[in-house]
Amino acid sequence: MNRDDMKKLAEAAMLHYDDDELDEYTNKFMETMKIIDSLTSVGLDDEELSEVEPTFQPISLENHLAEDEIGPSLTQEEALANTEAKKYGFFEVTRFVD
Amino acid sequence: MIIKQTARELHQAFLDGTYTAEEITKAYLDQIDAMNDEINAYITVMREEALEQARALDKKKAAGEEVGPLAGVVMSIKDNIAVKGVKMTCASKMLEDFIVPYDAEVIKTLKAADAILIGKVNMDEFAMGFDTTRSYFGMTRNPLDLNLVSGGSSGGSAASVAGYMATASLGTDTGGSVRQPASFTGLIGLKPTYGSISKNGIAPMANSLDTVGIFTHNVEDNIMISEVLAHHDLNDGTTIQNLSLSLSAVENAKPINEVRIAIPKSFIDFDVNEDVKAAFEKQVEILKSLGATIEEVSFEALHHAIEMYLILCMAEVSSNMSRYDGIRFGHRSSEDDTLEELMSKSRGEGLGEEVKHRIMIGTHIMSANVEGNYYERAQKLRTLLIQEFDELFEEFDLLVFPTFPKPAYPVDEELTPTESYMGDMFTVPANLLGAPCVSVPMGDRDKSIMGMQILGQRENDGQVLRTAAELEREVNHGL
Repeated sequence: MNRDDMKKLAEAAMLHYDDDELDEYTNKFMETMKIIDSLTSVGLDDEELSEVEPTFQPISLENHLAEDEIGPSLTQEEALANTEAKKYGFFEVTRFVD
Repeated sequence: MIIKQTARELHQAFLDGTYTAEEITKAYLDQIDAMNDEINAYITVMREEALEQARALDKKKAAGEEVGPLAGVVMSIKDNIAVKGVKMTCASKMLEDFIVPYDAEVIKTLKAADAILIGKVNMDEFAMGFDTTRSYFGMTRNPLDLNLVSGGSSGGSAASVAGYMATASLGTDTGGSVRQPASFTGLIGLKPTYGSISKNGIAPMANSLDTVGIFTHNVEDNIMISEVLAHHDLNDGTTIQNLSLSLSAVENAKPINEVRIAIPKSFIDFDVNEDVKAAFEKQVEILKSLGATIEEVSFEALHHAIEMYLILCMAEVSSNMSRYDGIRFGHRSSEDDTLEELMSKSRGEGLGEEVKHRIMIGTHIMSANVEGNYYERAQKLRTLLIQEFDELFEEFDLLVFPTFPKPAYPVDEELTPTESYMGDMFTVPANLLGAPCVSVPMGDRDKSIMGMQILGQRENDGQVLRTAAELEREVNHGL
């Protein structure tokens, strides 16, 4: 991964890094990927694994459906209580369409 | 002394009228005042709320009303669990001022059981770490020796109980975050079967691995609290009704002289610290002397558990952390020329190094061009791990092995990423398997800073806890 690759990755992850921070961080990234990459060396190829079902979670679950009952929800004031920027009773965001 | 009593003793003393709930709460608040500056277990002390809850409980009892099964028990709560009207920081700058508008299901349950909630405790930021040195609010020190780490990520939970600043604590365990800090602080740390306790209202890290866990001084207290917490919850689709997490299941489990225990060879061959190795061998001898059948076994799939864990955990982390955008709640950057800049700078400023690292790795391995090579492969290898484990459990009832390859280490010792991930190797199998696992102290009985794990079959938590209780009785680690 070169600096451009790392920059693209940071953009996809929506994380701002300064160039210096990103250069410093790249070593740690590569060290972790080295550990992870060793998984691809497990002696099973993709064909052998093709018959294996993936595990999404480790226990047997049944679906339990709740009744669709209307109940109290957050008030507008409560919903806005934790934002740092609000306007006219809404979340304030930077204009993103012209 | 009030604070040195067990949960069972305090509950009884409250029922007998020996102590009021207010007296018990004040005793713990005094201990927090005396100890917390040095240890830094608490991020938020719920002083007024706890006293109000205690007084209400005293009135309830005085009025002759029935009180809950945890009346008299004072609990601390890891700061990634929602308590209505109280800050939930997840030990992050991102959520420094976030006040939760609702109670997590476990908090509703504890309140209904009349447990007194005394505060929110420190952790590695967003539960990503292994020694509570990665908190925005500073590290938590080990009450048994202030020069040592408390473990993590639920280090504040462990330190609050080991430092007698709470009777018990709730933590979360995604890859060992309850068991490892319990092992560093001489406590019992239980990670029950996946799905036994609701995660509704808990900041998620990796949904297919996350489990709520309990810290106590002894096994009996752990059973008492986990039994209250275990139930199916419609608001968490991954919960089950785990009947094995109950006192009756513990009583009906096999006695130790009928239990067949396996020790995975890979954990013996691993580079384990000599003190841990010696203490583990001694503990195994005790199990043998109590009549347990013990055999070393090979468990091949364990060799790649850590890689599987890293892939699944970081992929799920990167997805879960996308909710922190600086808009609806959490830290917001002042640099916001574009929406993208607002989000990426808010996240860049608000999240710590380790959290960003895991998001980066997760984003990379979930990228369209590499997904098949990592995530799906890890999910399939997880299936094989579970199959091998299930075959092993046709012959055995339990596995035992050390909780961490070294004892609690000095606060100024920095582990490399490789060392830290390899340390996780001992704890992540239980999460990948969804299996119940408890860490029990070993070594010096008064100042134990290392532990042994007892791991059982899914939905057989009762067996794990029974064997832990019998072992505890023998080595007299209980108070």
